[in-house]
Amino acid sequence: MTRLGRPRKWPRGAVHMSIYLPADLRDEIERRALVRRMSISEYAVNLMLRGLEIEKEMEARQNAKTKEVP
Amino acid sequence: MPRPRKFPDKGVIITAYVPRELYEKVRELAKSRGTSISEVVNDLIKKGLEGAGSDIVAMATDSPDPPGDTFQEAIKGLEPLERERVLQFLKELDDVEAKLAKLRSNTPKKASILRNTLQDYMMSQEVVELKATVNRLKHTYEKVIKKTVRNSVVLNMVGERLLRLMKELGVPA
Repeated sequence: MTRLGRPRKWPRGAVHMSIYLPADLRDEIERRALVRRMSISEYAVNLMLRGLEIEKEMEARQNAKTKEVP
Repeated sequence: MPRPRKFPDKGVIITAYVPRELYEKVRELAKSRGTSISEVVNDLIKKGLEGAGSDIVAMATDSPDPPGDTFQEAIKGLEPLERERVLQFLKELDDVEAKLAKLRSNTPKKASILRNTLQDYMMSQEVVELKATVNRLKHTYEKVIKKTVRNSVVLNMVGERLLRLMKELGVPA
C-alpha cells in the first residue's frame, strides 16, 4: 500500500533525544539555526554528525601518525 | 551536601529528533568513554560548532580519492544532514535494486503447473510491494531530497537511479 501523508523525515527510524546543554551553547545553536532557516533539532543533528566526522578525521590522522613513527 | 551544578551558569534541555543510527553511535561512544549521552552530545556539538567555521569540505576530501569519482566527491561536499538523508535514500534504492535483481533471477523453472502458479503469485506480490516502495521513494525524492539537496551532481545521480527503477517497475512519473 502507498503511504499517505508527508514522508518520514528519517525513513530508517528515529528517536527523540533530550539533551542537557549549557544555556549559552543552546543560544548559539539557536542563533545559527535561525540563520540557516533550520529548526534547532535539525541543526543540532547536523552539528552532531559534523562532530562525529571531525572525530573520525582526527582518529585517522592520529593512526596515520603512529604508523609513520618506526 | 548536594553535588555541584553541572553547568554553573545555567543548563537547559533541548529535544532533538535524531536518526536511530546516530543515536546508537552516540550511545556506544558514551558507553566506551564511561560518560553520559548528554556529555558525548555536548562534546560533539562543540566540535561541530568549531568545525563549522573551518572548511569541512577540505578536511573530508583530504584522503586521496580515485580520480573521476565526482559523485563521491559531491556527496562529501554536502552538509552532514543533507548527506545523511541522501545516504539513507541511497540505501533504500540499493535495497529495492537488490530485491528486483533477486526477482529477476527467480525465473520459474520447469515444474508442476501448481508450483509455477504459486511462484507467479508470490512474485506478483513482491512486485506490488516493490512498486509501493518505489512510489514512496519518488514522493521522498520530490518532497525531501529535492528541497534539501542543492548539489546538481548528487540530485542527477540519485534521480537517474530512481527513474530507472520507476521505468523497470512501471511506476508512473
